[in-house]
Amino acid sequence: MKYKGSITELRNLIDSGVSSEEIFKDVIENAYETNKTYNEFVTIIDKYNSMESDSILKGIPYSLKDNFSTKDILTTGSSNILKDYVPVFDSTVYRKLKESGAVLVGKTTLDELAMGGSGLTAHTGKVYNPFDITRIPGGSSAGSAVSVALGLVPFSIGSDTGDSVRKPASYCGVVGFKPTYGRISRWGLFPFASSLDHVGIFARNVRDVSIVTDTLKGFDSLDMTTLPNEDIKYSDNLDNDVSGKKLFYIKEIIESANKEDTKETIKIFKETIEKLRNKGIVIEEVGFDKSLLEAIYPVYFIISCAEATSNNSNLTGFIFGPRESGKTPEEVMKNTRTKGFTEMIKRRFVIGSYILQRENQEKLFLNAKRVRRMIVEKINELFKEYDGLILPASGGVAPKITNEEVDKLDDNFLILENHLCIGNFGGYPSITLPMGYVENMPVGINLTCAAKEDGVCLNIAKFIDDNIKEVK
Amino acid sequence: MEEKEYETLQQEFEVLLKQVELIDNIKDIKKYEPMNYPFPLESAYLREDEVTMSLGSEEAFRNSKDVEANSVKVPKVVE
Amino acid sequence: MYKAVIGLEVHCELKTKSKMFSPSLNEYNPSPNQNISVIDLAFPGILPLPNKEAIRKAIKLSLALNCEVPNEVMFDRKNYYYADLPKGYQLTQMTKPFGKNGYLDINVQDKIKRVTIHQLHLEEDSASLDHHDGYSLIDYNRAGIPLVEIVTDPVFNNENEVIEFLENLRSIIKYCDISDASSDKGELRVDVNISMMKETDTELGIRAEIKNINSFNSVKETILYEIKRQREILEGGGKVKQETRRWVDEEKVTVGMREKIEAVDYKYYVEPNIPVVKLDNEFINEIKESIPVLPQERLQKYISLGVMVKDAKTLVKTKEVSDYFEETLRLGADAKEASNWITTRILGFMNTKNKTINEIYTTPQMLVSLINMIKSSKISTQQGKEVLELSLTEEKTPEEIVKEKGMEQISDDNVIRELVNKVLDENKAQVDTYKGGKTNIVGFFVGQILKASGGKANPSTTNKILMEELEKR
Repeated sequence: MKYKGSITELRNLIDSGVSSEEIFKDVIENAYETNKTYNEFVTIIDKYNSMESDSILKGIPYSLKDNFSTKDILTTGSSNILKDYVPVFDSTVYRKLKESGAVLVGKTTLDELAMGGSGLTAHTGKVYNPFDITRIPGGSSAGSAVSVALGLVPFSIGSDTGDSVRKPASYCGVVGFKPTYGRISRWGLFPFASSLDHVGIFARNVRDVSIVTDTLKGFDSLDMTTLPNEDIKYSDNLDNDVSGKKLFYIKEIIESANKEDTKETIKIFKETIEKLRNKGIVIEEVGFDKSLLEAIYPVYFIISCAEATSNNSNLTGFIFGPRESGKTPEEVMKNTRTKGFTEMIKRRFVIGSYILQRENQEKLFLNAKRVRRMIVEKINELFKEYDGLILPASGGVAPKITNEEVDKLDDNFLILENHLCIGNFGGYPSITLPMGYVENMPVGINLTCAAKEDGVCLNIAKFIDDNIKEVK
Repeated sequence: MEEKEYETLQQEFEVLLKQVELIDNIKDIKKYEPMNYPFPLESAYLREDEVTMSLGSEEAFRNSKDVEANSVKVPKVVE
Repeated sequence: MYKAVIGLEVHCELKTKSKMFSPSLNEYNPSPNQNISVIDLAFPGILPLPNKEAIRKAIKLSLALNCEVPNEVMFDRKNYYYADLPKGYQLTQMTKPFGKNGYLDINVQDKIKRVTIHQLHLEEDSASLDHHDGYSLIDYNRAGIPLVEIVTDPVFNNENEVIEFLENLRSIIKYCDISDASSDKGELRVDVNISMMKETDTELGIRAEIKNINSFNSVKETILYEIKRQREILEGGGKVKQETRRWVDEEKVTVGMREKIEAVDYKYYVEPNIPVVKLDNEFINEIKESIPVLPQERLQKYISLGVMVKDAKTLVKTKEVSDYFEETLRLGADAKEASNWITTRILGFMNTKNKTINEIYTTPQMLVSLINMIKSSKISTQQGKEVLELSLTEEKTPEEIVKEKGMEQISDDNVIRELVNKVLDENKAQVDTYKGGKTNIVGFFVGQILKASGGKANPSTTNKILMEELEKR
């Protein structure tokens, strides 16, 4: 590939006279090639389109997860039930990027309706890990992570409901950031679980992630949950002094490591925090109620299934999407949904529906929401004392693709694997950075900060990133 | 869903219920209010009553498989 | 032996510029799918944007019905699949409805009956379905229109109470400018729950629910029909089925739609995309202050001022007429007097010309000056009627008409005395007849005098002076 680099590098190229259309063509050409191997795109854009603007993103290519509504551009949610859906309106994220002059090169593959963590369940087939095609890329924002990891684009937009940006970032060796809930508008993002859904950003470094966040953030009258505007640019505050900042990690999560590659991951994590301590960051070990930690995944599963079931009730085949036949509208709906969703999705909806039933709500749904509050209140308490929570982003490297059914609910309470959900429970800004390699596969480190402290999060993350790179 | 699919569903339900036990065993759980949002948003305000959105029916239904007389057509709804 | 127990669910579409959760036009439109947006059609990725004005109106009605109002805004999803529900759920209120435990006092057969309101909540309307042979067409114009649902306790025992309540409710809704509450456009729709029980029973009987009745008259017919139907079943030893029924207006019967084995589980849960918005005291107080004096209160006031009950009811039927009447009172008119003129002459005129009271020429001020002219004997009552008629039709002030038509009465004693003597001089023979004892000939003189005055002589003054002059002869 001829033009590969960060936003700043491509910006310099364009400013020095390389046409952004030429860069676009180079990206597209390569994207068609890589897509044969990795299947990271649902749609590759044929036509160069860049609006006039004086943004730093003017002319910069990027990719967008295929669950962001793009007017006149196919948007499938990687599901058969939307396989021919061409939206009539733009998501706020897409509109802002369009207005900044950034150039969309493709809509990326995701786990069907973003409900999965492997990257293997799209209606267009599996997505593969660029470091090792026998391994998963992680999901649900699989194609986005891969398109950045391959160097096709300097940044990509994903969505994160449990860890759907931050986990694939770890598996694919890129930076993945999920700002505070409401920092970026969800208008036009296909909902999975509205109270947990976040827009997220992949890039190769913290600066690029910050630049894109600066472009996307802000109040949106179309999303009531967006935060008010603030008058700072994160990308201008990345090099603020962080010495004396206090971070914590949770003892029980680190001690839960049991597999070989997990132990290796923990080793790298410990080395990393040691380096950071030497550079003036205070990092302390904190104990946390294990019963709450073990409840993280069930709580996530219950809340997300329930909300997803309701959120996807609009997929009936009447106004959009394929439509199956039937004698009554109810039959049409039933047949359309039976045919349109894969088995895994249907199971999620059956379970979600069960959770929402009146007689089960108290025991399942409401109790899960109570535990969510318990966890969030405890973490909020810790954020009064500490600036951030630092942990390995995953229990190990990207797992191998096997014949086993993926994304099946299983009995393994891997708290090291599932703790990223905490970031969604409390709407915290949370970022995954490459930390090192195990068996030649990347592993990531995650930093989560108090809600609305996106600036602090990116500032510390930049420092961590710089120092990890320095010693490598 | 097919027979085999129900089997998997059954397994998942068993796992789910086992996990729910974990939740049930958490101390003091009932002292907490269910959490509906990640955090309270004090700045939230209501939309003023103004008309700022519209959509032509042709565009609205261009994704629909069966349209007649500017309307989505479905099998007869039995009341 | 059996008595009916009736509860109501009243749905009322709110008058707002935009829809409940979308900024698309809220306006009745007979051609389908004109007032729609991506939100109303539930395209993937849309979010709800609750309408402040709709919330204000719902709370206004809630306060007018003496309900408890919550301190924050919260909506819930009601999850069910139906062709008219684009999202697959309806946004409504379950956790914190805008009204709870309210009441409305109504007047039935001169007794006050308190109708307790169980709940009042705000929600979005569904799409409407146009049924054809073998298929249905979905019209999303109605999808998302703000809808208030008022649920009463089962406190009614007959159709008269129900109708009285509905009439009262409708006038409150109109007084508060919440809705036009027009049945023709389906802005007001009623569900009736009805069951029968013996006087001695302690528990309610099995009820039928008759849904979506469009006019008050149909509500009345429905109740009468259901009472008869259920009574016949029970007296025949049968059991009433718990079911949903529908009123077929053409055949004047209710027919079963679906049997309710158990209540549908709507899987309610709090809408996560609408953050909690606090309702501060300022906002609530502002709404409170915007509630006008309500018809019941006005009715009592008018009756106490001597207006006949029937007329008082007519006056309060619409706020505009009542306000018109109130204005005449403020300008000093006698209540009974003003009421007579308004309920007979003015409303009559409005009916024939199909005008509202705000569209007629004659203002309360003009009506009062007309009344005053009669009171001060400037014109006669008979003339007054003519003047008002002309004021309404020719759009002129009563003063202008009286002047133009030269209607002013002659009340000046000297002028009348002159006229009297002239007539007596000209009719000496009749004066003799009178003097001879035939006093009933007085009428003849009066007629002659009035004729001579062109009808303008004040009759009572004329009478008085005539007697004086006759005595002198």
